[in-house]
Amino acid sequence: MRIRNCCKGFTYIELAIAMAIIAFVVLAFTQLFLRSSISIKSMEFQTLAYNFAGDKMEEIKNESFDGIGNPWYPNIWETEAQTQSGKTFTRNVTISHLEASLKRVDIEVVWTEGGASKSIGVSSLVADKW
Amino acid sequence: MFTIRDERGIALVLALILLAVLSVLALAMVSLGRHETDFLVKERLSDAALYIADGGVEYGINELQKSSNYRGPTTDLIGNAGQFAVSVSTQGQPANHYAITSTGYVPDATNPQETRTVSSVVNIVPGTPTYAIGAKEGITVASNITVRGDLRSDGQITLGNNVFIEPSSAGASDGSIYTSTDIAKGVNITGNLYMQPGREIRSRGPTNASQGGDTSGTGIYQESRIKAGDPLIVEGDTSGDTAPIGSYNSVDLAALDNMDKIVYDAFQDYTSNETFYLDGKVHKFTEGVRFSSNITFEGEGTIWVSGGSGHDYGLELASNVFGPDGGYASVNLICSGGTWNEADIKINSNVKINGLISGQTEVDANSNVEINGVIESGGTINVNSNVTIQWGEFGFQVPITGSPATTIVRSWQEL
Repeated sequence: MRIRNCCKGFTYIELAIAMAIIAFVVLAFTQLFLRSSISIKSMEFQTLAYNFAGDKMEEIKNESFDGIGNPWYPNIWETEAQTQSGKTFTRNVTISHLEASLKRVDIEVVWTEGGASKSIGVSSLVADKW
Repeated sequence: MFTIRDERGIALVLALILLAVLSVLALAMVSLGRHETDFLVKERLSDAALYIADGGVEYGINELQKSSNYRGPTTDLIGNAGQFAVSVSTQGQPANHYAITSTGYVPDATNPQETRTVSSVVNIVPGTPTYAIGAKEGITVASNITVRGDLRSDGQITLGNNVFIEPSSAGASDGSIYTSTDIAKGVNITGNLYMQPGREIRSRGPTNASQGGDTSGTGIYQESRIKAGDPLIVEGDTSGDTAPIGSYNSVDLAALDNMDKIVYDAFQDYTSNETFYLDGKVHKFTEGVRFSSNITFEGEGTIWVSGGSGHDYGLELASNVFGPDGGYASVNLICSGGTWNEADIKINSNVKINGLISGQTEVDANSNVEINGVIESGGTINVNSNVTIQWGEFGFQVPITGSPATTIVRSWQEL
């Protein structure tokens, strides 16, 4: 009988250890999910930003050579903003004349995330085809 | 046999197993999320690499427009975004077609995170000289000649009887005569000249006013023989219209040499009643060539004499030389070298050609010759009788120095 009594249920220590382990695991998973969710959200913003930049690049590639960077403004040729998924993205297009018949196009999209400024960029060249 | 007593503690085991399974599931989900994230990053970088690669193609087009000899390879950075490596090949391509291959690297070619390669075929159509007849040292046209386009020379232009200078097409503004020489009789009109209204004759030679009338001392002599068109006569001209052109040999020989070609190392004499198959190629004769009478040119191409000596002509078409069914032969005739007794190129009689005729020192066209294209010489041109020269684009493309007309992107694909 004494033996049976000593094996009944868990001791407080066992419970405390078990709860600590569970808490640790839950905390770890919560953090993992949290990070994962932030990362996925961040990726969504990046995808939107790249799409925003890509749209402009395609538009520029289909434009006449003379029309690119014209009318001319110093440094940044064109700035546009767009709000998607509750986030505002600002797109800056810079045109550099490498030669009379060759221009470089740099498109940067900027947005803020978690209080920090984030940006992505795509670049290409466009030739004046005769 | 199991008893109830044996099953004690099973809940703990089950709970642990459940915890483990749930943990694995949770980890799998997180891992899936991470992979998805990595994939998206990769995809975005890959898109950026594609734009860089396309930039390399544009770079290649720009270089080819400057020089059709450009082949690369060139590696260059596009800002901080990436690097491209571009090269050009003509292997297996039709004339004036160039296969551009460009690889885009992000962030650079040394440690690329993403790489994309594209290939594009572009057709850089060469331009056409602006004149129908152009010669550095002088042009002589005899009688019954029709020129549709401009006559231009850095030397003297002598016009015989019944010479008709007309625009190359309805609405075209050409059909004028220009000479850069400042000598007397820079344009010497010796017979009836017919032009169209609104055209001009310009010479840098002395003016009527300075010479006291239309005398043999003036830059344009015997204007009274102009029977139609009442062209604007400008002597002592200093405008850009009469600025010396310098070189009237407009063929880019290096580019021509890079084209698909057949080389003939000895002088070739094609006898009568032969068909010469051009096959879309450059036929390079390093010692000259003669086509006798009744020759038919099949297909299109270029006959190019690059050197030789000991014959009257470097490139001779005797008589009755046509394309299929007696039509125009789509062929360019080019003589860029050699020492010849009479002339570089001789087109004798009954010949129809659609193309560029270009000689280094002298080109002669005798009688009953019809040319759709351009005739030019680094020396002189002599046109005898019943010759029509109609300015126009060449049937078979030939590379012209510094004057591409059109660039057409034929294909663009990712490799």
